[in-house]
Amino acid sequence: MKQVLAKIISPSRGISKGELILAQAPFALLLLQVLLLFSERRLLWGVDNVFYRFGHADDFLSNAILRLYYAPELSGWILIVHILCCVLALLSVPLAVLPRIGAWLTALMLYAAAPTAYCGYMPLLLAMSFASIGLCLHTPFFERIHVRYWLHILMRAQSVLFACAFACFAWGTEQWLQGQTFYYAIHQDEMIRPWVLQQQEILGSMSAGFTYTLMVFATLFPLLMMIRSMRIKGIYIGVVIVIAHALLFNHVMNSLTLALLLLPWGIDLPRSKQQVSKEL
Amino acid sequence: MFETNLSRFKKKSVVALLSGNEMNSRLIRILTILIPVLLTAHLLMLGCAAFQEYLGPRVSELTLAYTTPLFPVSRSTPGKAVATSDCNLEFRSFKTARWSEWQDASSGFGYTPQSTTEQIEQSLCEEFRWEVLHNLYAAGGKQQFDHIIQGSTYSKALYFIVRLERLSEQSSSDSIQLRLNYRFTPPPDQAYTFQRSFLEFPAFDLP
Repeated sequence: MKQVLAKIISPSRGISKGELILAQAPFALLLLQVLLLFSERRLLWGVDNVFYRFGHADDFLSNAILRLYYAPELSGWILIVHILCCVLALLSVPLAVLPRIGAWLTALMLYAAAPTAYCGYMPLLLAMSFASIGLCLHTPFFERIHVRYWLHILMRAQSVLFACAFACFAWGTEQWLQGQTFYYAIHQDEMIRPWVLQQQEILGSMSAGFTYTLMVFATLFPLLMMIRSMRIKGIYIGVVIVIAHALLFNHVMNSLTLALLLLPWGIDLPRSKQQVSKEL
Repeated sequence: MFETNLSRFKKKSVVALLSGNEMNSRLIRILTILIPVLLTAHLLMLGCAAFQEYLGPRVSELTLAYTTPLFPVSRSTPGKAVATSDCNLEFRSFKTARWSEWQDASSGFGYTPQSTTEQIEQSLCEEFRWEVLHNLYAAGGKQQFDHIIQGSTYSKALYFIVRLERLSEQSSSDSIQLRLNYRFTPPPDQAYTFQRSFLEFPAFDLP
């Protein structure tokens, strides 16, 4: 019994530091997000919340599953469980997979109850945290089916999908094609940092440069990341864009979630399938 | 004979599944077919949603049914056009037989522009933009608000103000009136002057 317990609690061996960061980062962001919203919890999830009492869309994701099971009077408990699970999910033990599942499910419930309170890229954060649930599984059975390898690939695929979707929408929108999106974005006073308010006109004149850079980067993102020799340069450009986003716009969670897209590419995949098969 | 073979096959499959070897090769085969198909379908749907104005109503209906649940929040989708005006929700309340001054919905209660409350206000403004575009009409030379007032956005906004009033422990109002404060951003090639426009909803008597 002691041996079994020691095996469960002992840190996951054979997992690199990079992989550990990749497994923990999405849950650290979920924790940060819920802590940022904590002060306004009564407005968001309580019995008298602003969002819950009115009609909702009848589409599958926003109604069928989550709202039927979610009861506002339980919101306090769900919030506590979510915070606890997020903290436990940061542990580097194989058993952390359980709090990670809990953190992901409760995050989904809290998000579905008050989607507008969350950052715009929350669906992306949820998708990335789902993929990182099993990244700490390093037991022989999971190694045989290469769970970590496939989950890492899934995280990379999600980042490419996001970039492709972004590029698709941008190329189909006149405002983006005319290079005016950045100009209009920095004139939304609630979206930007206070220092930008003083520089709106100057920054606005550089709108085409910012807009086209972002458009081209999103379009080339799959190529930049998949061609190994270009990856590091692509990551550097991505980091510069994320820093610029964080400096210009208010919502820090959006910037951090964008940074999360680069993380799976900055960290090597777990050993190749052939290597693992040989070892086993 | 057949049953024995079947049970042997089942047993073999279970052992192979648990050992992981056969499952892996099957999994790879399934995934190599499934993932490109799913990716192509997903990208095709997003592509159609992006270019829906050039496609027929049937195609856009189908793509919207797919993309709306993926992006459930009414705020703009990454990669789509940004609003060309800055919008704020404002209110005034009727207390002790007089109307108060117009106040911003979040900063009127002491919340900063970086707060979650401001974010909620902005999401309500986003919903109002849609409502104004689709449900505001004129009849007899006057703006008609009945369709907007019947919608959930208006009731949500009213309830938002009432909740903030309660949370800030102010005495409750007899009536509340909402208005949208638009500040239009001039196009980049025109004079850098901003126009304001207000859209006042009828006063609402609180029970």
